[in-house]
Amino acid sequence: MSQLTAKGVSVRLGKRPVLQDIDLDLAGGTLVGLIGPNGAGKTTLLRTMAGLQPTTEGALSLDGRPLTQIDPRRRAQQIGYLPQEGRISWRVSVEDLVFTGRLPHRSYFTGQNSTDSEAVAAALAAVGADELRPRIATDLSGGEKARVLLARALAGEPAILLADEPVAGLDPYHRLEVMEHFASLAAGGRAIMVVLHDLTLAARFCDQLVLLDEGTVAASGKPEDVLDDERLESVYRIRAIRGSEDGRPFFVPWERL
Amino acid sequence: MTAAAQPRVRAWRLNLGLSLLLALLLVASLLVGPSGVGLTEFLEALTSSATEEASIILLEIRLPRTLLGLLVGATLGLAGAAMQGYLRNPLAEPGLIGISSSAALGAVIMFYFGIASMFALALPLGGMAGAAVAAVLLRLLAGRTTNSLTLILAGIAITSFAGALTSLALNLAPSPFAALEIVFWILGSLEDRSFDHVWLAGPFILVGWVMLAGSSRGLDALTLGEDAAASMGINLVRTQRLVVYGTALSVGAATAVTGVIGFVGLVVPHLLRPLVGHRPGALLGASALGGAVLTLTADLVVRLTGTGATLKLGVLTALVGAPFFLWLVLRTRRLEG
Repeated sequence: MSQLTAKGVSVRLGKRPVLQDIDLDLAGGTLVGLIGPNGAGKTTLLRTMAGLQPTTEGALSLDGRPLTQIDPRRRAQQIGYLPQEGRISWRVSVEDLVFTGRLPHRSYFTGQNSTDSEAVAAALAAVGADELRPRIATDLSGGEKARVLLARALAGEPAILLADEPVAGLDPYHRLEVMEHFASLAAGGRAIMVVLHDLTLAARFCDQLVLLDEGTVAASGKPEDVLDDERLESVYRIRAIRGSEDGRPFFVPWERL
Repeated sequence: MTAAAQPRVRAWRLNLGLSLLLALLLVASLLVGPSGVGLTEFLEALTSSATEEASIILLEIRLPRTLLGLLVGATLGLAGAAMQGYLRNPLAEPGLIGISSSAALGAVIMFYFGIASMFALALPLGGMAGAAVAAVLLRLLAGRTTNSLTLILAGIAITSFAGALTSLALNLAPSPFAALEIVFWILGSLEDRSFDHVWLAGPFILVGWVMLAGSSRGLDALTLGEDAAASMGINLVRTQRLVVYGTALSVGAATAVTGVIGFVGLVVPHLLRPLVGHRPGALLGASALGGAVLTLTADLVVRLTGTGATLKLGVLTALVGAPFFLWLVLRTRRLEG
């Protein structure tokens, strides 16, 4: 099982420090929720872990090897990344779009083979988007598009998947469906980190939560430990009504503080 | 057959169809001209029993003209498709980054200082020097960033400056005749070109083609944005270099030998895009074939209508291209409105 580790990672964008001294372990078999208020540095952290954002200090390693020393295509076979911005520039079919997720596995001169087709079919089935296959990707609704873009990331069959707000814009049914799918992928041995704003979903599905605040890790651990009233007040500046169901906490944000 | 297989098969059929059409046009281009040398002489030339005059017309006038039409047309189609794919904008064209206008300026400088009349290849060499200067400027201005806006702005700056210097040359032209010569050359034409032009531009064009073709994976991945492409192992800096310098080499060399032929690089990728399922990588080959087909067709029209003052090829493509561009703008506005 793969393991992605951040050690003492700091990132500056221009002169602004965005991440400071982050230590993080993302191991196979776990679903980690990355939470925190807007501007806390979640996207930057995810991009850094995907190898897309150079660190100012500290380093990342994949199974003990420095991430910067791994060939980008090899890295892409191991680490999948689903950006928050779901831009699709051309009117390609859903199937063609999901096929681009196989790019890291295809050498320059070979076309698509049956392994690619199977991976694409599995990825589409996983997000319940089979019937969208022949549709034009840019004509889809927001929720359909989000699922198809997730299928693109899954098609590469990465051992580690980093997803930036994959359930934003999805209705409750599809939120649950996608999160269930992440949970089952993690149970199957993959390492998955998901940026979430929905604290109930985070607590319900994630094995671990990492709470980011102003570029530092404010807390990490089991959901019920991370999401106590004090942290919701100090980090999120809200008061939430909480309850519990099946031993998992849930939250209804109630008022600003 | 799966849904995605259909555009693939369609793209394959499209390429086959375009190749056949191109083959017909290549033959037609050898057979049509004012001298009346036609099919009989062509067949005789193949069996080397033609008259000396017919062989000269076929092999030294029409053959280089045809080959240049093929090279230049395919270059414009290919570079247009690559540029649109890279910038993810259907309104982009090869001239956008200032290479064509700088190549034109290079040739104009040769006219202006009278170097053009000293030896035959002065014009294309000047054009290539102009394109090379523009490529260096692009590198300095757009640098190592993969920001497409910076690239476009740098291209606009270079285009404007080259345009201004060309106007200055016309303004200060030593005689009205010199100014006319400059204007006629800029209009773009395949007339009176020899094998020297083919040998001079050909190698640069071919290297440019290889570079542009090498960008196809990157272009496909960029459909999903820069971050997604980079996360799939695409080197964005390399993709940008392949597109920009591939365009600089091929379009620079093409413009240096034929002058500015507009709109082929804009219109052809746009027409063919739906036929390859909108995949930017698959569009490259189809667009190269389509560019050659359109350019050779336009050149045939120029030759067939050529009585008295011959219509310049660049004028014809612009005449057809501009209304199409307008239609494109209106359609885009309707789709977005």
